[in-house]
Amino acid sequence: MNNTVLLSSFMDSFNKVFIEDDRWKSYLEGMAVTIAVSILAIIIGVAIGLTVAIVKNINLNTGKLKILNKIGDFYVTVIRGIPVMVQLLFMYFVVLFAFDYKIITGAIVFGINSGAYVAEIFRGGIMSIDKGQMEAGRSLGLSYGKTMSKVIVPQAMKNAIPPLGNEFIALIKETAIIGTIGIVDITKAADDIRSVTYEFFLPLAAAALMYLVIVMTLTKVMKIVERRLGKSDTRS
Amino acid sequence: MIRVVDLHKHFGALKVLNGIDINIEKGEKVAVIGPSGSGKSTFLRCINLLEQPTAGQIFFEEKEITYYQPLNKLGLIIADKKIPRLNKTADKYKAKLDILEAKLSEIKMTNTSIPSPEIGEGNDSQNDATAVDTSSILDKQVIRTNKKIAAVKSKMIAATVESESIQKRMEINDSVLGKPKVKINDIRKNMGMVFQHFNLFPHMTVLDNIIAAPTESLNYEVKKIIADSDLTKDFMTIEKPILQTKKAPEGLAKAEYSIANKEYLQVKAEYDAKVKIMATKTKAKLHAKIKPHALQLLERIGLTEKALSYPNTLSGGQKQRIAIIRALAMRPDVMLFDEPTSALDPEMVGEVLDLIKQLAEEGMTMIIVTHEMNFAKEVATRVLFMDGGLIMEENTPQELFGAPKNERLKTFLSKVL
Repeated sequence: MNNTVLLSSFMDSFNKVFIEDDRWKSYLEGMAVTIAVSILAIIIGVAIGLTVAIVKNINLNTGKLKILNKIGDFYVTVIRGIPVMVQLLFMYFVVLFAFDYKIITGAIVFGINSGAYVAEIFRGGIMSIDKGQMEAGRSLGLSYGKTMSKVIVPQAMKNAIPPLGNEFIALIKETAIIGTIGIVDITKAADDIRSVTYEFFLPLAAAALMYLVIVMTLTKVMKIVERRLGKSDTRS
Repeated sequence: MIRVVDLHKHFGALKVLNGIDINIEKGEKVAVIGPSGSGKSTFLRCINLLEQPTAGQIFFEEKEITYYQPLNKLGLIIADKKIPRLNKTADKYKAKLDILEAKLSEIKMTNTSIPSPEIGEGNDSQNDATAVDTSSILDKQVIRTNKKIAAVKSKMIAATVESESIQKRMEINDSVLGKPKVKINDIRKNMGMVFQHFNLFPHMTVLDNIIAAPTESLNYEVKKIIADSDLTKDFMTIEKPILQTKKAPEGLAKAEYSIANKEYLQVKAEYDAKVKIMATKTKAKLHAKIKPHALQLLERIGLTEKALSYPNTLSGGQKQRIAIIRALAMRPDVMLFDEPTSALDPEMVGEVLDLIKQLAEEGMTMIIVTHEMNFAKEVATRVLFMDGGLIMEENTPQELFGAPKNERLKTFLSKVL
């Protein structure tokens, strides 16, 4: 008796939260937005991060690129010192106020933000490579750039994969604040449905589950990449 | 083949090389021995400019390879100002040092004047305790002063050496002005280097390790071949009209000039087209040769079956032999060995030394920094003994090991042999 009441009230909630007005669609749309923003941000972040890390490394080894190195330092300091929420609002209301594509704005903000962290991760990765590798490359007549791209960076990448995975996971979850500039991502979609239906548990649980699925997928991908890069470690 | 003239290298306050002069002929096998910290490795690493020397010249096949960035006007002014300041600092520390040393001797004097507890009256325990106290305080003072002296001394030396380095830099400035920058990457292709810790690329298979550098330097090889070809030689004999100027040169009618120009450009276009075809052909030919050459080298050391394994799976001796053939894959004219067997297990040393010996017998010019005296005796045609950043003695192995003249060499040999 009691069970049937519970079940029917649950079915009622489920109906309201997912079925009515095709609400399940807005979750999926939100998920698509979250994934799109994250992927764009990761691409921008890695590009910026790798550039900054290499500039810093060149400066460390040869003393060249002083000004670029200073800019890199400034960038990392500023970005890491300001909450991403403030960066998002600043970019949306001040810098790109005339720009219509909110999703791109969001991706740029998270990309620039992530770039600062990725730069430090790559820098650590490059620094973890033995100095002898650079010397061996140079002694064979390879240029600094060639040695960097063929010898140092591939090895640094391998060392950088675990912290990089961490950074990407943090980035995906941080995108949950993107709703503040009016982009409907997973969190915003769930929240909107909550405020319409007065149902709290199911929409938020659905959102949580979706983030979990995305992060787990990413973890899997990173593991595969790690294994592929680490094939030279196997002693067989 | 390699000529080194008055080579200096300072690392901050540390003077590692203090004027090395040596001339190494083609086919010579030079062993460099000496106590650790004598600058052997630094000397070797300066030869292929893995370390930028502070001053001095290095010639490879009579071409100078050392390059120093000339100081500009601002740099000269700064250096001019810096030297007196550094000298002043050095003097200041010298004065401090004198004071401290005087103080130290004073403390020591008082220390000896205090009666030691054994001599004091044994019954009076209080007196005894105070005596012990004062002496321990004095001991502490001595230790503290000694520490201060060491600190001041190191600062003084740092200032002196820096000022010396800057002076050296200024002295050579006139001579380095206007000298072309050497393409060191191209020079290094002719100098193979083998490291103490192998430095194989761990993310590449053995075969990739060997072919990486030859593959990357294909363009350089192609350029060299084309520059030496008859095609280029013929082209170079053609007289060049002045192409850069729009105006006809004096004494030449405009029409005449433009015809000459046109003809030249036509010839040049033909030449360029031919070069392009030749470059692609040569590149393909050379590229096809790289892998067989690498496999041939691998076969020579009997590690063909390891071609596709990663370096992590190999033993130290195998790694070092692969490092040697990796350098050989560039077909170098000279090989530099930086303590090739120092990081190996004793049982692996033999195989590596055998390979080096084989290379020596084939007539490769080589410079070997080593602690293996017997090996040096056996293989080298000349042995250098280095100490304190200088070549203290150089001679044939028989003479150097049999009848050493230098005192330090004698003590060194008595320790290691």
